[in-house]
Amino acid sequence: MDAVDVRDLVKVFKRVVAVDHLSFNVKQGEVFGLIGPNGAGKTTTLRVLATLIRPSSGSVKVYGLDVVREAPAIRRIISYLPEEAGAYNNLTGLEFLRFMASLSGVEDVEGAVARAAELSGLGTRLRDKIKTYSKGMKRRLLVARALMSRPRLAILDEPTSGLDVVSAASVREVIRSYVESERAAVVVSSHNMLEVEYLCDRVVVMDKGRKLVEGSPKELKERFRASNLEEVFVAAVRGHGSHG
Amino acid sequence: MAKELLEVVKKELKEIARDPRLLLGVLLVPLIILPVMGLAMRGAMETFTAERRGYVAVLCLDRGGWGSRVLEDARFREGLAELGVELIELRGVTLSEALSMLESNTTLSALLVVPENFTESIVNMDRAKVEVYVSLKSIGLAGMSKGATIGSVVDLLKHRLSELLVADLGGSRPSFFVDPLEPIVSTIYRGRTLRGVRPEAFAGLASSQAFTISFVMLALLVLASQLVATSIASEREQKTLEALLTLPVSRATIIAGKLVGAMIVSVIGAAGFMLGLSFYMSSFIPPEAASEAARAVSAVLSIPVEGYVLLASSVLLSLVASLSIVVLLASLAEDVRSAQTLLSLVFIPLFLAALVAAFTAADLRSPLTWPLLIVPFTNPVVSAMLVINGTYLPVALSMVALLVETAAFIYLAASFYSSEKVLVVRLKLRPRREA
Repeated sequence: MDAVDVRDLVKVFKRVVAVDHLSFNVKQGEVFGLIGPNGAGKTTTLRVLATLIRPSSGSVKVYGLDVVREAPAIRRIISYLPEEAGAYNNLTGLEFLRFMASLSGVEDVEGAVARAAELSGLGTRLRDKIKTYSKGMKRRLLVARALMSRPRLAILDEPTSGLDVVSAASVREVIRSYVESERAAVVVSSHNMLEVEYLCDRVVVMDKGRKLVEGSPKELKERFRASNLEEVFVAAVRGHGSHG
Repeated sequence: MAKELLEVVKKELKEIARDPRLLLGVLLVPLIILPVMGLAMRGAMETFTAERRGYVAVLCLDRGGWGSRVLEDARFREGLAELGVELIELRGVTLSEALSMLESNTTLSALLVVPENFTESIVNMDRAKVEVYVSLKSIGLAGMSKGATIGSVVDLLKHRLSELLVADLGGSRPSFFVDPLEPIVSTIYRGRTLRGVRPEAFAGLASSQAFTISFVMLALLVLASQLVATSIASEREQKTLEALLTLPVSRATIIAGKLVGAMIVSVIGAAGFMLGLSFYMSSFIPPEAASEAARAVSAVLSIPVEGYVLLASSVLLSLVASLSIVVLLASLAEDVRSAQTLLSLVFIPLFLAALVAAFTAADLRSPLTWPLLIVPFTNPVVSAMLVINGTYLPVALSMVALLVETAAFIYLAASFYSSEKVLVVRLKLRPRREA
């Protein structure tokens, strides 16, 4: 069974078509990337997967569960990290992790907190209030929070957004090793093509809500005769005629 | 469900307790500012009371006998003793010397000068003049108290002079001629006769109790509403809402956790407010000055245990119903500031109505009473007034309406949170900035 099965997904906000007949699937143990320019519909697609918003039409399933009819069951096996996610500034890092773990449906809350503490690499700073953290520390805390409950599907929207090079590399390693150790699926969106190439087994390039191309980074580079994914991205989007 | 609810409540309490802006409202104003104001007021009242007791200098220049007759009169002296005033007679000094003494001597409250023609005026049946000089070392309560002291002395002097004049005319009971009436006014309230209590005094005390209760109720509602609105809107502002909504916990539990957390802090805040306010109010009347009448009034106006139980249940229900509405309103706001603005736009007219209700709507014949009872924001004030009046049935009936409203609003709030509207709808309200 696929971890994610999206078929003909359409999402319309009033008159704006955010996602337009999108289809893709993600296998267990796979890191799948959604890439595209701003307004391409990546975040909307991730929000549908995370059961936050409902499809206007089409079918979206997570491990065979329907995002509309079986949303509570899906929430038990997924974890979602929004692009601009924040944390409760007046709690300490540990308190925040404990709070989120206690609502995540995990049996061993303290075990999950210990795992997140290790993943975050924040050490004793976890005892400080979150409002004293830098942007990078906060993001590492949030990525650790997203993975601590061992979700079968992690949905990560721009996981390294705003991070410096070293912190971003550390977050990427955390995600990659998580997939390898847990055999979980990850759907990630990113503007960083280097990151996508390093992390993703397969990607979909989107623009204006529609799928432009799909394949592994290697396949796409060969198909577009490009030396890196950034060239693939530019060629695919320009070929679509919107960024001419 | 219960464990998760507890976790949300614990997190809410931690967040609130560590937010200096919220703590300022909950603790600083009621527990520090009001008592400090009360202490200042008590100090001033003590000064006022102390200043009223003192010495009044008398310079009698009268060439006839009436001046010394009235000043040395035994009943006049008794009256002065009751006022706590002692006369110091100045002899062999001029008016300017007496005035210098008044200015240099801090223990003297005033100088009373009986002029040379005092007796002559009385004999001629002209109104006799006396001159009064008060030396003020500072402005404020001291001036008021000195003025009051000398005013009482002059009243006493006038009264006794009048009695002596009537006695000379041949009356055996001069006080009867001077003041033939002794009115005893009583107030009847809810079948109880408060003998010697004037209706204006009773109404004054009842109004001040109504004001106190309304003030506390409104403070409780405002505080709780602000806490809930801030908590809900800050989930958006801090960008924590989306992740929270993808956790396997029901939306109703999240909302209930926020409501309970805010209610706990609000009840603590309201208790603090009540303590501070009662201390402040008691500063005006020193305990030893509480009259028999005041004690009788407070006995009549006090609320029995069953009244308190009814009122507490009603307040709790109104609080939950009001906060459910606040959840809905705050969920529409883009950020904390917009939520607060939206809240104030809705609350200001409602709170004005509640204040009006405190003084008018306790009368069941008023057309305002029932509408105000079924509105959650105004219910506590009207209910408090009705309970003080001993009218319990309308309060109990309004609780049924509140129960239905609470269920409806929580359902609406949970439905709103369960839909994608909670992420999509954005209301941005900010004061226009000058360019």
